[in-house]
Amino acid sequence: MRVDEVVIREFLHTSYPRLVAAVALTSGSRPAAEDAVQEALIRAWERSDKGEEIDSLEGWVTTVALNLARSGLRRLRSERRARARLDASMVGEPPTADRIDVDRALATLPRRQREVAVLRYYLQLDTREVASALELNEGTVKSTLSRARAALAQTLGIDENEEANDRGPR
Amino acid sequence: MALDERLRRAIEHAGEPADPSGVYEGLIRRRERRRIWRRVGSGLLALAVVAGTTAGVFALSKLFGGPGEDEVTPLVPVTPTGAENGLVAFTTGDRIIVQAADGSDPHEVPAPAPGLAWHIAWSPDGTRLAVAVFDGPRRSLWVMQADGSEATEIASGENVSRPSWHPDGTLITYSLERNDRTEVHVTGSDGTNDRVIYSEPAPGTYAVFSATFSPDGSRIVFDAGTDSEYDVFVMASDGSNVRQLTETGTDYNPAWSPDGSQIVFIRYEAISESDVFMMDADGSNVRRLTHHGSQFTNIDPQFSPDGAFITYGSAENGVVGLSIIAMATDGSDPEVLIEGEVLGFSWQPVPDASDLPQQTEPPTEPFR
Repeated sequence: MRVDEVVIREFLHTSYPRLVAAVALTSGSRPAAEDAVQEALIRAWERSDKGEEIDSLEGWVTTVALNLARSGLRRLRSERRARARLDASMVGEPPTADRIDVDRALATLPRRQREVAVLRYYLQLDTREVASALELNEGTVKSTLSRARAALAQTLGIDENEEANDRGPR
Repeated sequence: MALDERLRRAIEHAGEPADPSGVYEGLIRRRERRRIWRRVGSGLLALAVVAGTTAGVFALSKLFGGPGEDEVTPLVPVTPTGAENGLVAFTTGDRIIVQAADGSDPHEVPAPAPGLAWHIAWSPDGTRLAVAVFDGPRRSLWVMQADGSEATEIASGENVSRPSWHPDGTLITYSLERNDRTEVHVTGSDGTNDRVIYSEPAPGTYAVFSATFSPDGSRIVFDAGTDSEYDVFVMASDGSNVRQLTETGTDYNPAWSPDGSQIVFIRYEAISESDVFMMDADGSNVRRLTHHGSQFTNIDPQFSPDGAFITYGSAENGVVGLSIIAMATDGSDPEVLIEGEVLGFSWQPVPDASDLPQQTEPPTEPFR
C-alpha cells in the first residue's frame, strides 16, 4: 500500500489512539509511547515515499513502535518516573486504584510476556497477529501468553481455576 | 467469567487511548525538520571529509593519542574557582531556553539536532552548553556556543546520559550502554579522544547514570545498579578506586557542591517516592532536605554555581509539567524558579575573575 497524507490521517483516527495506549502499557511511559508510534509512522511514510511497499501500515507501525519503545525501556528509572508522572498530570485525573494495580501487575512481567499480554488482551490480536508483530513464532507466543496469564492472575488476585471451562487464550 | 475475559477487561480499563488531535501537524513539522537536518548533515559531512586530512589526523593523534588506546592517565586535580550565578538554561523537549534566573529576558536557542532536547549543562566558564538529545532510540550529546552556534556532536549511543564538564572545560564525562554493558566515558569537549574509564554489565533497565566530575576534576560521582537496586558511587577520574557511598538500593542523581564537600542526590522511599537528600562527600552524615511524600516526583538536584541554592525538578501529581524548584541548602525556603514542562536544567556559572588561574599557555595534554 502507498502511505500518503490520507492514509496517515485515517490511521491517526482509527489505530493511533489504541496503539499508543498499548505501547504505553508495555513501556510504562505514555510520552515515550507517543514518541515511538509517531516515529514509526514517519518512518513508514518516508519508506513509502522512497517506493518501498508496506503491506499493513498498522502491523508495520506496531512492530516498529514496540521496537523503539523497547530500546527506550533501557533508560534512567527516574526519567521513566518523571515522564510517567508528567503523563499522569497531563491526563488530569489521577489513575484509579484498579489501573495502578494493572500497571503494576504488567510491570512485574518480563518484557516479552508484557508485550504479548497487551497485544492479545488490549489490542485483541490473535496469536498469529501477535507473532507477526513481535517477530516470534506462534508456539512461543502461546507459551509466553500462558505464563503471562498465570502471573497476571496471581498478581491481580484472580483465581485462575475459578472457571472450569476456561481453556486459556484462543 | 473466564480468566481471559477478566484479564481483557482489566487491561482494557488500564489502557488510555491517545488523543490524535494535532498529531498530524506535529508529524509534518517533525518530518520537515528531519529533511532539513539531512540536508545540513550532508553539508557537514562534506566539510568533515575535507577537514579530515592526513595532517589533521596526525596532529590529533599526537595531541590525544591514537584510536583504541586503552591507557588512561589520572587527571590532576585543579583548584576549584569560585563562581557567581548567571543565566539559567532549560529544555522543554521542543525548545531550549536561556533566560535570567528571575525569568526575565528569555531567549530561545536552536536545538542542535532533531528530537527531544533533554539534559543540558553549562561549561565551567559559562560560554558553552552541552545538550543531550533523544531522537527515538538514538541519543546524542552536543556541545555548542550558548547562542546555539557551532554545534558539534561529541557522542551518541544507547541511553546516553546527562553530560558533566570537567572544571577546566576541556573534557566531558557521560555514560552510555553498549553490548549489554554500561560505560562511563571521558571525552574531549570537542568529541575527540573519547575513552571508556569504567565499564560493568548492565543486567537490568537501570545502569550507570549521572556521572559527574567533582569540582576539582579528580573524582566522578555516579549512580549505578539494577532495575531494583541503585546506589551512589564515587571513583577517581581515571575510573580507579571505585567506592560505594550509599547502600539503601534507592539512591540516584548525585551532584557535587561547588566546594566538593557535599553530594546532593535523590532517594526513593516508600513514604516519599523521590525526596532530595544530602550527604558528606565520603557518604556520611546523610540528611533529608525535602518532605514531599508520594505525590511528587523529584529528579536531578544540583547546587547553584555559588553554592547558595539547590535546584531540582519536581512534578506534582495533577499539575502539568516538571517545574524547577530552588531552595536553600538546608531545604528551607523553596521557590519555583521555572514553572512548566521542563526536562533539563542548568545554572550558568560566571567565574570570579580573581579566582581564575593565570594561565599563559594552553594545555597540551588533556589527561595529565
